[in-house]
Amino acid sequence: MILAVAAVVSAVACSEDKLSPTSVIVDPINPETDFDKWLEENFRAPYNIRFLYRYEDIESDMTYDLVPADETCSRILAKLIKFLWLDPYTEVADANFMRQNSPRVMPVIGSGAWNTNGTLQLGTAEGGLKITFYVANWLVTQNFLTINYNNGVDTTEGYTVTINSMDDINYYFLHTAHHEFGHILNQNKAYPTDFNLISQNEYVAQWNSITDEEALPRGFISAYASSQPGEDFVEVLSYYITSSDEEWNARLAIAGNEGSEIIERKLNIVSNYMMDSWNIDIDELRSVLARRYGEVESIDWSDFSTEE
Amino acid sequence: MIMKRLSYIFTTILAAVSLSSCFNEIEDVFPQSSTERLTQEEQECLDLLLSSEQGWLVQYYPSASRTYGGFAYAMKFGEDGNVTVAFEQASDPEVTVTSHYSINGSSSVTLTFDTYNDYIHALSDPDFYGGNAFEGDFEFAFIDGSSERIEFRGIKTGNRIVFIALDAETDIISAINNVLDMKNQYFMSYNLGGSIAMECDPNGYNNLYYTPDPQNPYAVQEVPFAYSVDGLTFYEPVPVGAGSVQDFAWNEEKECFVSKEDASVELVGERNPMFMDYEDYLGTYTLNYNRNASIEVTLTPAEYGSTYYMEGFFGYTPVVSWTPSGFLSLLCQYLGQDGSYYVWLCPWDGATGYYTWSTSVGFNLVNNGTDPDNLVLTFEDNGAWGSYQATSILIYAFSSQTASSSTGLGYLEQVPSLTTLVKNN
Repeated sequence: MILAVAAVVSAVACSEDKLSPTSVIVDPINPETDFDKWLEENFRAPYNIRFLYRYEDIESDMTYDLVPADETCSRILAKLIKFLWLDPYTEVADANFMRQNSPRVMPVIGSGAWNTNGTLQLGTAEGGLKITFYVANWLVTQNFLTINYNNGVDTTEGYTVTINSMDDINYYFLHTAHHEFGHILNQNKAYPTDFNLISQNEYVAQWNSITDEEALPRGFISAYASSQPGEDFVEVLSYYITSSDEEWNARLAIAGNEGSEIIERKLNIVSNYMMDSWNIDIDELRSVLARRYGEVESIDWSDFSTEE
Repeated sequence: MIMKRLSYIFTTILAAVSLSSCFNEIEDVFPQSSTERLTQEEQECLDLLLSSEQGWLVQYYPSASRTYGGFAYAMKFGEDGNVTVAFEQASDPEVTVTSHYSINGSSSVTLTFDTYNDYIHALSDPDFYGGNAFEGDFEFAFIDGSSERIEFRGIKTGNRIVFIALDAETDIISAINNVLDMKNQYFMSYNLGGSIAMECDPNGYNNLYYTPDPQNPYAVQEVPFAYSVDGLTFYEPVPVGAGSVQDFAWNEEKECFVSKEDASVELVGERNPMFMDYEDYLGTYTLNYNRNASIEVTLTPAEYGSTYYMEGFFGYTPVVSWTPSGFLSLLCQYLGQDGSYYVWLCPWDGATGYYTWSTSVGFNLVNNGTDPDNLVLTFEDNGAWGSYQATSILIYAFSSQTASSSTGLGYLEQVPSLTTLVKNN
């Protein structure tokens, strides 16, 4: 119906009408930096992702008190996200996979999004289009890493980065990215409902009052996984691919025989789903990630040069 | 279903408009499209921000209640999208912080400090102080302005935020130093217009309290204010007599703030009755100790306006701090290295024999009056050492700069029973 109307409109448009050379959408009064150009080349052009490191009201959740991300933290986070989330998928899947399935916008927020019960929202995926990262400033303020300025004071002459806690970086950012991306994949292609039956009567509303150690023997890879089947699915996926063998086995050891057996059944469905729906071998993805975690120190953190 | 119908109707209307547009020119109410108009207003806001060469003094109130008073920033906006900021609350007023700003229009033209700035976002960061304690804003809706003054409103708080252009001779660091000159008058209370008694905020916020109605002493009125480069500004005008006053300039001669609206109205501050200026303590003193012993020491400026060196103190130079409350403060401190020794000034309790390397323990050197020419400072324990009393000093050697019982080696000098510093004229 709508298509038909549009066709009529075009057909009768006056022949002498020309496209105005000035666009109605005028460039906002905000000049481009080297980082903006780097993001264009590494996020926007290849994947159509806008990495929004400058705070935008309309992309932010007004129910929380939030502050913007520190620019240097955003730059480091962009490198981490590219190296440990975008590139690994591109390495194992065909080139179009990330272009087609990645979120369109990735806002970065400096502070935590604190809920009134004192819990922290680490990320959100909305409608398959947006993944929001919080706590970017914690990279520095919580000492997850140390920025070593070449001139001792600021970034003008470049810097190196010493990672102090890859576990924290993994937990707050990469695990979040893989988790939320799992939601996006599920929103595009539903996972088999068999998964929902495995722990059908075990999901709890008060997931934040239990620990991972309590959740594991009940067949949940984390406490948050016990909140609902959709979260359970992406928690299994993200924990599996971002954990080393030792870390994964340590979780299964806490789960015990009964808990591990349930988690393995869930992993099996997750693994088949990724292969059948997306042609991705999660064991291959996992080994690519493991290799890349070992190579993080080799990232050139302050190089934002572009081809042009 | 409803949505579908609406979109159908909308499409039809759109189609009708498009179809007819060829035949009838539709008169625009405004010469430009709404996008262009918004962009023009954005450009106006940007042009204003860039118009002041040295930048702006910004009087900013966090929290919709304004109970934390106003804070002064000095900001310089660059064409490259960077803003460089100095801040009244900075631990070092000479240190500026640079971050990004942007101007965007959605429902209104908004100035957003859109990457983190340690000064600007300190008052809105939920990761601090167990929550967003100051409830501040970093998105300012543009109201109007001139090259002298721009007015914004906080998006969350609705508070008025005023930008005042700095003159050509005042850069942002001097602006904040001027603000600190206004702030550091060390007043404990004020009298406005000779009739209204105002108390300062006990937490040091820029907020005054008074009771407008003497019949109703519990109805306390808050007067949040912010400092400017030459005085201070109340957030709202305060009625005095038949008129009202809001903006004040410091008058050095009268040592008070004078209303810019009505020069007959003064805001007169009260200091501690024993207050003496920093400069008045400078000079040479006889330090009396151990009944009849004495040495000559000299107080010279260390950090001008806040600390002194006490030169001639047994070959060492301890630092003494100025206070606005009628005493100087001499605390336990590391004095430096002497050969292989790490030397500390340790307060010593002559009665029990204990000494300490806790840097909060020490002496108040209390004025006898406020006449700099007849000044006697008396050593009193500052009360920070629990049941012990600092009465004496040990110059003590340690094997490391970190003083502890295991690194203590022994005293180099005993200075028992300190009594007075008498200024020599």
